[in-house]
Amino acid sequence: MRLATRRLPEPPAFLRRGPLREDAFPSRLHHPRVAALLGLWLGAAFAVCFATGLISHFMQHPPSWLDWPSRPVNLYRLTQGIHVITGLTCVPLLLAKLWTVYPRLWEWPPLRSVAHAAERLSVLPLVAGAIFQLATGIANIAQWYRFRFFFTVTHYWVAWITIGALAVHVAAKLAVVRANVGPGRARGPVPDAPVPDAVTRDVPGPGVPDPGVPAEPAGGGLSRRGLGIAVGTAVGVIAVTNAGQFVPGLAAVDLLAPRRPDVGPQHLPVNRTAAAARVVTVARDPGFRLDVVGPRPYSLTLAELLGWERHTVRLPITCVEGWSADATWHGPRLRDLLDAAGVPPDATVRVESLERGGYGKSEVRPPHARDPLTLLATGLNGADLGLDHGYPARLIAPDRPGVLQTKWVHRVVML
Amino acid sequence: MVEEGNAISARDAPRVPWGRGLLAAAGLAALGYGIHGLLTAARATHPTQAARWLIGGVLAHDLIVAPVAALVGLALTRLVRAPYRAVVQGALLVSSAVLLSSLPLWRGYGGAPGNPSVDPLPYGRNLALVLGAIWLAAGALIAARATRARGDQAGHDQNRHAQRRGDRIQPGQIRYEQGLPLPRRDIRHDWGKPLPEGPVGVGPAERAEGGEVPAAAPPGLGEGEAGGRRVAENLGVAEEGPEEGS
Repeated sequence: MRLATRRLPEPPAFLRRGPLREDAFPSRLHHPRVAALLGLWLGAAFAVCFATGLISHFMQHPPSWLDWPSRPVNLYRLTQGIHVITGLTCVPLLLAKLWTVYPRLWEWPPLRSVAHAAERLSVLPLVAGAIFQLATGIANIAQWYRFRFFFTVTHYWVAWITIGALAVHVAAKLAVVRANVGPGRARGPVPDAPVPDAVTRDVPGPGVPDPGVPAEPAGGGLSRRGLGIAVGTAVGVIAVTNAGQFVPGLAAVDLLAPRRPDVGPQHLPVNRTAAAARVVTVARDPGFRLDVVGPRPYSLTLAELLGWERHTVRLPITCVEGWSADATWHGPRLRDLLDAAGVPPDATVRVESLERGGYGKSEVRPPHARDPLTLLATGLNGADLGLDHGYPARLIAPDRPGVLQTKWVHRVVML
Repeated sequence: MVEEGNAISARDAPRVPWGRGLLAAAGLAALGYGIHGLLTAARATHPTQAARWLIGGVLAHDLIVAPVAALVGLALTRLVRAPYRAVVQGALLVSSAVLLSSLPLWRGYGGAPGNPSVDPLPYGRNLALVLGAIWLAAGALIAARATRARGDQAGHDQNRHAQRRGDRIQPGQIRYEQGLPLPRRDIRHDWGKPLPEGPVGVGPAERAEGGEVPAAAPPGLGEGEAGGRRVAENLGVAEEGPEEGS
């Protein structure tokens, strides 16, 4: 251990130019207390993002032993909405944090010891991962696919890299945080005459000796409290202008979100059009048949499907991209269709779409398959289901990511 | 300044000695798990492209974003006076955060040509609304600070007058107690002379040094004795006392 902390030789002093100079960054915002406070908020935000992101991942790829519940109806709406909003509000937090610690990039000497080098190196995956997650997330919700890698898979694995690097960083900086934040923080000596901040008028009176918080140096620019206020305002503005995409009733302030929940065919947004899924001709085929495969398999024509006992439910589409929209659906209950095929109540079924490819099928476990709210919807908001929304039939279930609400369903198979 | 943190960390012993190590080990494990997953799902993750984006993001921030921020700060130091500079900096911070978090939308990137429900809003207009609101608030704050500064102007002028008379002002010796009225220049004193301009209130330094300064008189600035003499001169009282001109 002592080998790791042994001091390495210092590089020659004439190399200390430009940003490496001691007085290169005179702003009073470069202080461990500011960094610690911003770090606490950023760490909490990333932890929330990671947790809600894991929920989203495991709802889409549940392990065999985990059956997600189908209630409460709005659970996924909440977790995924929080995930996207928290991610977006991390932008000002991260930028402010990186600014306060920017001089550390140019610290001198660059490598004091092996331990110091390791600590510096551990910051690289953290910063890289954090910027990557935010950038790819912002690109994805706008459906801007500038990159060739699959967003879902890459975003998931880099999340583990980022959270791991964050844990290492917290372990390394725990003492610094404790020394700078909270009631037990270290206090410096009282200066003789505290110089008033040009911004505030807080000049302590002579008869009230300050117990010893080191005064913030004077300056004409943003004070540390001002930085906190500015970052908080940025977080608020971003949250408010994006919340309307998943919070019912806030659609009027939904100014800068990539979706408005009431904009789309039949007042519902569409993620993947029929044309994009290449099902336009085959979905409109009058010879469409719905196959239900169980112990007593049968097949329905379109007329028979529409004539089946119809139920009406109000359920949201809760997209993985963070937006959600309520809608009224009508059609046969999935449970009724399965009972008619003799499918037992504890069986998992697979719902298959006319669309080929990865999103062309989804697994429906018993909690969702047996839920009375789960329909194979044939109608939306009082009218027939539109082609882009999954005509002739789509799965709609409570507490389920939108990507798993399979459209253009033509086959239901017991597994 | 930034090194304080490291100096402290050397002295501070953690309350749970193995807690930090455990956290670091868990972090390294998660880090390794992530890298392993990224490399095994290579067909989906295109590790070389992902690596390019990862490193590219860091470089873009460290070599472009942060230096630009520094230059903007430097320019503001030359162009905008305190205390208004802080408001402008804050508004710039909020504006850039809004711009970055909605970048693909107002730039028109992304979206699907056959799907108008993706990125459907008039983002240029909405962005103008949001930025307009931000800078309107900033303008209001600047105006509020300007009014406050004008209210202080009288006090500051007195300070500057005293400075011109060659007195050394110690920081902290001039204090504006809350609630005390600023002296009015049009009041004629009992002794037939207008009140000399000077700050109100008597600093404790003067009281402590035992100078005989009448409570209602403006304080002597600087050392007590000399200040007392100057006060007397200004009042036209010299050494005789306050009988003159009553």
